[in-house]
This record gives sequence, structure tokens and C-alpha cells, in this order.
Amino acid sequence: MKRVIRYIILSIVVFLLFIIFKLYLIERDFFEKASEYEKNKHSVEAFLMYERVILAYIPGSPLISESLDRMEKICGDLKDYDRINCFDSMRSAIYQVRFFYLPYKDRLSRIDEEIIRLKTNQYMKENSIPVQNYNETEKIFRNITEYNPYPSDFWSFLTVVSLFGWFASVTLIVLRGLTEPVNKRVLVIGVMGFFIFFTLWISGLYMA
Amino acid sequence: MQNNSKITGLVTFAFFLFCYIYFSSPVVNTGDAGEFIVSSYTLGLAHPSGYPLYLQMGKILQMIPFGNMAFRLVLVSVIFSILSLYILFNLVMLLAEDRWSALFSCILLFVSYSFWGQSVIAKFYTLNMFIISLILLIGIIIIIKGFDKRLVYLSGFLIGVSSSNHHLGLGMVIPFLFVLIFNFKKSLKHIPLMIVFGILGFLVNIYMFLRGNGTKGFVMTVVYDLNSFLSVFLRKNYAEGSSTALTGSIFTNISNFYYAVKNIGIILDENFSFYTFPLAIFGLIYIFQKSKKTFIFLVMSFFVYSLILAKMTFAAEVININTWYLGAHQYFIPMLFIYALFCGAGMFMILNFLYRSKFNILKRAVPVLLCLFPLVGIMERMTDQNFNSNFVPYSMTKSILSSQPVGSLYVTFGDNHTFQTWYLKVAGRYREDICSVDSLNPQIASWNLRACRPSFLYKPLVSELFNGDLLEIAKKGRVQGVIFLGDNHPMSKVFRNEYGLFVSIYLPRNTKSDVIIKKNLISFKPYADITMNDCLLHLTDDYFTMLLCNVSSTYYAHLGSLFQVKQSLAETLITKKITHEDYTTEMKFKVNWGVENEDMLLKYHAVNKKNDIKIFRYFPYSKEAKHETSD
Repeated sequence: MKRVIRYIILSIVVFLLFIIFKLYLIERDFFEKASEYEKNKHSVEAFLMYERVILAYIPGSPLISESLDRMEKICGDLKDYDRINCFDSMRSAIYQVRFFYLPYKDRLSRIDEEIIRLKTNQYMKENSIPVQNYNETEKIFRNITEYNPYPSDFWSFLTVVSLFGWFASVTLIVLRGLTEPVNKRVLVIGVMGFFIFFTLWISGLYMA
Repeated sequence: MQNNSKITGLVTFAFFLFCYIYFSSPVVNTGDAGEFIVSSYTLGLAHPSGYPLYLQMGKILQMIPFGNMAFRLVLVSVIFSILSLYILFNLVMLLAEDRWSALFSCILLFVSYSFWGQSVIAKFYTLNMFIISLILLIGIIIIIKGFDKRLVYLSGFLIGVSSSNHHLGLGMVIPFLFVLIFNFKKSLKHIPLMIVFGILGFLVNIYMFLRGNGTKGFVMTVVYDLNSFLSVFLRKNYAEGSSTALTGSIFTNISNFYYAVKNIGIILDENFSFYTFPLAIFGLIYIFQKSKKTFIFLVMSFFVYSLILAKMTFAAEVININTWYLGAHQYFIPMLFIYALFCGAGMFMILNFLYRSKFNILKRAVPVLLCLFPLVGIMERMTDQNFNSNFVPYSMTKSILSSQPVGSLYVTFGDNHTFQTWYLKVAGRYREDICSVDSLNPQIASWNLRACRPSFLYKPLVSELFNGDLLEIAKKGRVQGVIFLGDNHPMSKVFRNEYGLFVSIYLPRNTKSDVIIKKNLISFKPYADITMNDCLLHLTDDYFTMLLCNVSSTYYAHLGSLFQVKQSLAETLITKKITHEDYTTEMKFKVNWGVENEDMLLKYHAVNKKNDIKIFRYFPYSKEAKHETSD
């Protein structure tokens, strides 16, 4: 059993190392491209490349924070749709790399405000909406921007863990419980495990 | 010796893992991927049959803090393909007890065109393969090592679980029945409990009731009662393509078995090349000699996943390119797996002959060389299944959404545009101000609001859509769509078509706002340039990617035509036939090329050349190729 656990841990470590290696190469590659575009004053191309650096997210990577800083600076210098798309790209990239934790929350709240303001102004300008309707229009974009489409992280986590739990319980019942003669102790543990995890799974699906 | 064997195995599997991770898609890929990512991340429901198991597996991987949502779902494919290869290794070891033969069979499958292709994108086929491989392993253990009721129960559970992923897994019921028949007396009393465990596995489908009602998570087809559940589970929406209709089709048009066999031959040849055919036959002879029951079980399994499956899905004289891509490249993974197993056994027959030789060099070096020989295929995979280089779907969707006015309406059509938009807009939360609706029929303006939800948020923004006054919203260039409206399109009576950025802009017939649109479009050239660069740089033989690039290059050329050219160097008439299902229309315009836009001309030609559909691996066998020859 110990040997199996050792192999599993080794496999996970190797798996993560390969992932980090791949992501690092992507980060490095696009960071270079983005810097080149930025140097040549191709701001749109530059922010699109910096976005790809963020998408290859590795926690604590200096290239990611540098990209975010540079991207924010570029966004601030752009106008009209480029500015909207730039800030929106930055925001989207952060949401796309979100796991059970949302990184760069502080930046997000700042960006959100800017996006709401920019979209409101653009929409009002293009649709000839009078200035006195600003608050009303802004509310529309605020509601859309602040709407959270994701399920609860806690319940989602519980759901997937308990799915594994009840799969493992059934396997335990079959392989260790239903031996000749029947191993009653394992069988009771397996059945109890099944009911507990199954209930948690259902609750998780309902609540998430 | 045993340590050497372990190290060889570990190094080989680490290499497999490295390759699949390295060449996997770092962002959303084409086809269903976008939909799967959104449904998985939000614990929603994908298209029928719902895929609850795959979506939950995807959600587990979403907990790791590396990469983005799309890449993490791709990792599900990577993990299960490696596990399937590991099961294959064990299966060959069970049959031949020779690590080189086992490794040969794994390497053969590992480098095969479709197995590699499905391992590096977000798709459920490798998870399906893993479940099937486990049932195969159980079947062979029972045959070789003797009856064990626990393994029968476990197989029941796995078959039940497979129903919550893809119905292909249920195909294992037929060969497994033979395992039960071989042990008829012993197994008879255990069948009721096997069914109970099967039902326990089937319980994963409860997910559809709890998450599929449309109030939680992103749902493509709503499940709210038993009927709607059955409709999704049995894929009734697909009419002729529903699970029940397909099963029924096995027994009709028996003569079509000829085409099924022919197409299977093509798929095997494209994946393993002709030199493996004798090996597979040797393997069958070896298995037959070793155990007739194993032979029957494996041949039955192969039969189900080749001939029967091909008869259901792939047995016509002419098959269009789309079906070649979706069918040949995806459905037959289990067939490839079992075929590789046969080849592994065949290799053992050859190696066994060598092992008897007196020459040490023959005994030691040749098996290694033969085993490693299929690795030459990696060079090809690096240029046709290198999804690490494919940013096209992400980049194109991003460009399209970026070019749309704030608070506009975007009508998508087809899996690629629709699912990629869902990913970027719903999961990626990019340009949430756009109300994206999807159309099921290119000729009918009846739309689903799936990426324009919740509707209370979008009602005040695109009130015209909700009030049914599309002309009003279209006046300002705020309606864009994937379908290029030709004169024969019903909507063309009201709208005229303007070229947008990779999509069309629908303007009311009596409006003249071309000038603003053209001016705005030019400002989006940098986005288009990046997308065209991606079309040039991708190293994938992905038909959908090629299709996206191929159509978009025409829009790109049109963007070039908007530039004021001081001195014309050349004038080109660009024509392009665009087909959306049965609806076909033509794009036609002139472009003046000068120094201001000559870079675009070069890129336009290069993208077209690079993404020529004729390059696609299965093109020569397609209906389109045959039409071309007859023309």
C-alpha cells in the first residue's frame, strides 16, 4: 500500500512539474513577443500577448505580475474600444485562471469600476442617450459586470470530492467487503461511506 | 531485471505524459470544448447526453492553481489517456508477459493520429476509453485467472458509470456477456447483484436532474422531468442521430456493412499504417492459441467498436468531410486501443522467435529497436496534432467580440462560433455587455438566448431584441452574425449584409451607415492581424481550425479593401463560397492592393494556403474530394 501511495505522489509531482514547465515556456514566449510589440508601440498587439502570459498562470510567477502591471499601463493609454477591450481582457484573463481562489482581487475591483464607466460612456455616446440618464445606464452595466455566474466554490469542491468518495465506497464494498466469506466490518464501513458521500454529493449538487 | 523493467516503464510513461502535456491545447480548442468548459466550470449540463461524469471530472481539475479553465479541462483528457495506456500495458503483459511487446503496443497507440489528437484537447473520449479499458481488463482477468464475483460486480458498476459519460461505453455489455456465458453456472446467481451495482453506477445521472434545470450552472438542454431526462439521455433531439435510432440502424441496409469495413480500413491505415496489419493478424493468432475465450472476448469487443459502431455511424458510400472529422477522428478510439493490443500480442510472437536465438545482440537490441520504432510517428504528430501552437479559436472569438459595439446582439451559428463564444463570454466573462444568441438553423431567425442570460440583466440593454424590434437595434450596426446573408436568405428581405470583423453586420435595407462601420472596422486591424498570425502559426491538422481560418481570411481581405490606396499595385476580385449546412452563398468583392495594405494581401494568401481544407488528413476520402474529382 505504501508503495502505491509513493507512486501516486511521485506521479502527481511529475505531472505538476511538466505542467509548470509547459506553462513557463508559454509565459516566457508570449512575454517576449509582448515586450517586442510594446517597444514598437503596437499597444493592442502587446496587450493581447500579455493576456496570453496571464492565461499560462503559475502562482507566484514574476512574469504574470509584470504582465499585469504592463497591461494596466497600456490599457490606461488606449482610447475607445481598445481601452474597453484591454481592461476587459485583463479582467477576463484573471477570471479564466481562477481556481477555488480568485487571484488579483484588488486589481479586479479597480478594473471593474473602469470597465463599467467606459462601457456606460461608450453606450451613451453611440445611442445618443442624454447625460441625465447616466446613473440609470450605469446601473445596467454595473449589474451585468457584478453578476457572478460561477457556482459556490465550497459546495463545488464538496460535490466532486464526495463523488470520488462514493465511487471509492462502492469499490471498497465490492473488492474488500464482498469477499468469501463476507467481510462484515468492511461492508458496514463501505455502506456507511456510500450513504454519507452520496448524501454529501446530492447536497453539493443542490447547493453549489 | 525487475528493477530495470520498472524503470523502463516509468520512463516511458513519464515521456508519454510529458508529450501529451506539452502538446496539449493551452486555451480553448474548437468543437465542443467551449461548451464543456462552461458546463464543467459552472457544474451545468452539456449537449445531449449531458456528460455528467466528464463535467464533474473537469471540475476536479479546475481546483488546481495552474493555467486557465480551458487548459485544466484538457488535462482530464491527458490523465485518462495516460491511464488508458497504462491499462493497455497491463493487458498485453497479462497476455504475453513481455514488457517490450507491451511497450510496443502502448507506443503504437500513443503516437496514433486520433488517440494523440483526442488526448491533447478538451473532449471526453479518453475518459470513455479509460472506462472501456477497465472493463476489458476485468474481462481478461476473469478469463485468464478464473471467475471472481467481485470483478463481475465491479464491471456492472463501471458499465453503469459509463452511461453517464458517453453511450459508447455501454457497448462493452455485449462482449462482457460472453465472459458471463463462459462462466455461466458460476455467474448466473451473481447477475442480479451485478445489475444492482450497474444501477448504482447509473446514479451519477441524477446530476442531470439536480443541475440541469437551468437555474444553476450553464445548461444547453434543460432537464426538468423524466421525459426531458430521457430526451437528453437518449439524445432524442438528434432524431436520426439519437442513441435509439442509431442502435436500430445496425439492422437496416445490411449491404452498408461493406462501406463500414472499407471505412474502418481507412481509419486503421491512417492511424497505424499498413505495416501493422500483419502484426495484428499475428496477434490474433497468438491470442487464439493462448486462450480461445480471450480471443472471443477481444474479437467481440473489437467487432462492437469497429464494425457495429461503423455501421451505426459511418457506413455510407460517400461521407462528408465534417463527418470524417467528427466520426473517424473521435468515435473509434476504443477500436484503435484493441487493435494496438492485437499488435502488441503480434509483436510478442515475433520477439518470441528472437528470444530463442543464440545471438545475444538479437535478444537484447532488436526488441528495443522494434519497440521504439513507432516513435518516429512523433515527428508527424508535432506538426499535425501540436495543439500547444493553436490559439486560433481563442483569438478569433476574441477578435469578433472585441469588434462589437457595447450592448450589441451577436448571433452565432455552429458549434465553433457558438461554443467558443459561450466560453469566452460566460466562463471567461469577456465583453459581458454583448447579448449572444445562437441559431440552430442557418435559414431561420429563431434564436436561443443561452449566452444572453439571465435575461433580466440584458432586457434593459437590448430591449429591442426582447420587444421583437430587431430593425431598431440593427440601425446602429448593433446586430452581427456568423451567417453571411445572401440574396436567397429569408432575412435578406429586411437586412443587408455588411462585412464585419470575421462576421457579418446586419443592417436594415434602407440604412446608410457604411461610412461609420468602415471607419470603425479599420481600427480593429491589430486584432485581425493577431488572429491571422495564429492561423499561420498553428501546427494542427484540425479541420475546424482550418475552416475558421479559411472563412475568416476572406473577411480579412475585405478589411484590406477598406484602406485608401494611393497607388494601386494590383487589383484582385475575391470570391468565396460560404456554406452553413444546406445554406450556401457567395462573398464577392474587389480589393485594391497598395503599400498601405500589401501586408494583408500576403497574409491572406498565406493563411489560405496554410489552411487549405485539402490538406486535412481525411479529405481525400470525403464527399467533397470526390465531387472535386468529378468536376
